Amino acid sequence: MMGKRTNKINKIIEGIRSFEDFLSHKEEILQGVQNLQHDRQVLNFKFERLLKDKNVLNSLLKKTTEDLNNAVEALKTRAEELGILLSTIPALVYFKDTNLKYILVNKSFERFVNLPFYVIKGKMVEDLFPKYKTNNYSEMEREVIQSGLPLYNIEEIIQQGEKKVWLSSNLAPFRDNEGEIIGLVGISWDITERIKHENELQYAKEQAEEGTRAKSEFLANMSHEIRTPMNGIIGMAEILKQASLGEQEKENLEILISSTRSLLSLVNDVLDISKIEAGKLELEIEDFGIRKVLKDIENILYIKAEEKILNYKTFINPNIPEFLRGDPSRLKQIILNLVNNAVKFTEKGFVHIFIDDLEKHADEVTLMVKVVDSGIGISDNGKKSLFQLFSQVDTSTTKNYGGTGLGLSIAKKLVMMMQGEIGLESEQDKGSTFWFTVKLEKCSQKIVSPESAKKKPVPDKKPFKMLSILLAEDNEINQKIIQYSLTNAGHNVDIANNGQEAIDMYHAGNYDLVLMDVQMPVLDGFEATAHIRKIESAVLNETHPTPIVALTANAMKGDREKCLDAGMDEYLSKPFTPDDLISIIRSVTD
Amino acid sequence: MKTISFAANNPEEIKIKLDKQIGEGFSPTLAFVFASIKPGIHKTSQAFKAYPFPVFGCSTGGNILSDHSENCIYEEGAVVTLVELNEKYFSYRIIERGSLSSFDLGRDIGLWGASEFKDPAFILVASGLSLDGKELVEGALDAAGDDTIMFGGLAGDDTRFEQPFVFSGKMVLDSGAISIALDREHIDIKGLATSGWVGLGKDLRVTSATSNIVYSIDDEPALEVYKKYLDVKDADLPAIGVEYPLLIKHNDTYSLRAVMGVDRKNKALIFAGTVPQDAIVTFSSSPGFEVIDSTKEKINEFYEKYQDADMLLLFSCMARYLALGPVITEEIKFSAEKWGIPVSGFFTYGEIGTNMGSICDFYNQTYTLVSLKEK
Ligand SMILES: Nc1ncnc2c1ncn2[C@@H]1O[C@H](COP(=O)(O)OP(=O)(O)OP(=O)(O)O)[C@@H](O)[C@H]1O
Ligand SMILES: [Mg+2]
Repeated sequence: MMGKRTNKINKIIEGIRSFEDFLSHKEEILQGVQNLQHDRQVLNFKFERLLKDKNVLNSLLKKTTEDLNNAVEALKTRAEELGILLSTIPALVYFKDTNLKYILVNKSFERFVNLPFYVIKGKMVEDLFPKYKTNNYSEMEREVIQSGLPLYNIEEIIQQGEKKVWLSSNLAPFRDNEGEIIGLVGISWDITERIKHENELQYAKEQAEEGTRAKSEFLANMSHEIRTPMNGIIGMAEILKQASLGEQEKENLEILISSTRSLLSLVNDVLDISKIEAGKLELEIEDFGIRKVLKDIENILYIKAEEKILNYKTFINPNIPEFLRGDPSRLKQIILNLVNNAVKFTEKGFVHIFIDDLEKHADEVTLMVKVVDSGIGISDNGKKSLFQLFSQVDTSTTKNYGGTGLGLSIAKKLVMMMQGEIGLESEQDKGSTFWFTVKLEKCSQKIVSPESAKKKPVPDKKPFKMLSILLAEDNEINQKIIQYSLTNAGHNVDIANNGQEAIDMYHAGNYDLVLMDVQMPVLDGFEATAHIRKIESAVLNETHPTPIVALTANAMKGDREKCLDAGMDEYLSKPFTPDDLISIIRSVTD
Repeated sequence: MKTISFAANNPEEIKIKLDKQIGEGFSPTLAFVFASIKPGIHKTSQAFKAYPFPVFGCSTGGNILSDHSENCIYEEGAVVTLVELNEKYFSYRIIERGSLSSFDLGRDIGLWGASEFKDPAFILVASGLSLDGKELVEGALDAAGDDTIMFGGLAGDDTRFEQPFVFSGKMVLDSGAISIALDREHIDIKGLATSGWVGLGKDLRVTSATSNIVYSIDDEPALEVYKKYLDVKDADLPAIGVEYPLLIKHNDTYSLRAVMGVDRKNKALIFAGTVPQDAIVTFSSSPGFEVIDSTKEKINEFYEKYQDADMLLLFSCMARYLALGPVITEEIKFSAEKWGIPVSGFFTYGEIGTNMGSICDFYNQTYTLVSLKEK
């Protein structure tokens, strides 16, 4: 357009050479000049405008480039950091799209599948692990994509090349800026070593458990083996005591009985230890009177203390409630151990027992029991391993005082079961203070003396009923003792030497009661009982089954349940006194 | 509907030309007056005091009249369009904003129009630099219905950004609005709004804003962001912010917001319409003079659909004038030549319109053309 106009003007300028031309073209010239004027304005504006735009846009561009560079820089650093993280992390890291195809993996992953990334890209899990049943894994990946929820700790063994590898994997979805799930990220750790360790540990644990079980079984059996003859000795001695004997003989008999009893207590200690180690010792929680427990201990030890002319005293804080909940026989055992020691290791002076309450809660008391003596005391060196099994201060102890060094370690274990602590303060030749704490619940209601509630009143005045009793027992001594006690009480006793004989005799005879030893040759007590019950229900169609009482040396927990399950009515643990026997017979026949 | 338009350099000339037209037998029932503030807006208002017809007047950023003459932009004086239209077909109202919010001002207008006609369309102008054009439109739509047709603009003040006005022959308001409600049973009203502005630079986030005041962008004071990014001086604002408005990104559309004022104490910017907090924005600019080609294309499209018109009104953004300078006459004249009738209007501080049937909205940087036709 501009060029056209310039041409025109040139033409006009030519024309100016003639005045006529000038006149005839005057209007046209003026218009042309005006147009030129306008064009110049427009051009001027455009120029200024472009200048202004250039400035502003340059600045915008510069700023934007800066921003972009910064963003790219930041992204680069982040990407680099991420890259470093991904390539150094010892786990297999991979990203997959929603079709479960690999889109990115780290170096560890490449190394693991022994393929470069460009081969892995676009593959699926079954392409990379042909020997591995991948259905389950793909299912989980799909689940993550669909639910949008991560899955943790998927542990699987997979075959990679020649070796089998345990992997623990975590899967999580990842999303775009709009929150749309666009894939998943998986991280897998090689946990083969860990699993190996776990297996070894498990094996070792089983071995250890097996060992302990065997040991405690052995001990239980052994205690049975020992208890049976001891039962016999005590029983026989008791019977002998009934006879008229000379002074010397009576004294000898007392020594026999007391040494048998201490042997029995050793067996009991060993049994306790084996139970504790087998984890089979359980507290039997019941309501009990704490003062009664202390009285019992005093009854047992008072005489010994008296003999040594020791001042024996028990001090109990009167604020301690009369009745508490806990295991009274185990509590008694702990205190007895300590007091026994105190009496044993004190030649003159005193043995004092203090019971106090430390903390009081609405439904719980912490008892502090202190046993203080004025005995030989213990050196710092001697204190070190006091609470360990078979530990005594020095070897001379056994020689001078007897004992096996089990008492304190049993006490400590029991105290720990009662959520308490045990300790001592002592100096050589200056006496000892053994203390322990236990947590006991308070009773919700006042109870009558638990002992009297438990024990049936002695049925002296009750009319006596003569019973016909079948005793199944293989041990001859035991047969004698039991038969003696029962005939002495006016009953009729027939003896079977094993389970089979017992069944036969039961079939033939008519008995009011069966006493059934558990461990017998030919047929044991459980089986014999089962037979008898079968005969009763099927053949005789009895409505009132004959009471059967188990006699057992197995003092392990669970024996009672086993006996009752086998169809027996009661359970008596050896050794027992004639009174025990009489009263249990009463309880099942009344 | 008959119209006569003229430009006048001063209030005296307005009166002379008015009297001439009336003397020649034209009897206007309504006058559109777009005026510069230079002669004094009160004087311009008073030029109409003696006449009975209502006056739809406002101060502008430049007056537009494209008829047979070479010139089509009048920075001095005023452009007047007299309309002879059955008084039953339209209704006129001038309101002071007072303590009304922008939204309630819009509601007020919408309710009024809906009570005048069963199916009203609106032509309106509003004054006030603190007015939020977006809320004004939303208020009106809220009261009159979402599909209501509205066209108009925000008054200007010769790019001074101090005090725009609306006025009638009796009243001058620096914070108010004038609205004409048209009965669509008798008048066809159609329109087009096109901008062509393009976003520039990276996405920014509006981090603090209430209504049309933006306090911070990307946690920096809004004023500082403008200065820093555009490399301009403090004094260049708000004017530069009209040329380089913020482009607010929506899901698949965008809207432009020009800067109307500066709160220097708070380093905040006041925009012609709402800029929501957390909005993602960029700067924007005209893509250059080619934008005119795209405007012409849109006009052609519009013309193909609605060739019949008794009257054309143009609300063109101030920023277009600043950006296109004398070249802008091309897009103004283009419409007048297409329809063969004069186009009158003004350079606005913000436009109200709908683009060929879509929902009415508030804009910046647009060429908003309205055609009226008596049925
Ligand atoms: N009151 C005490 N005074 C001095 N030494 C003590 C006292 N109590 C325990 N001891 C020392 O601690 C050792 C371990 O005591 P513990 O009760 O465990 O075993 P024991 O009494 O020797 O044997 P057991 O209790 O198994 O019959 C004792 O042998 C003794 O040396
Ligand atoms: Mg001891």
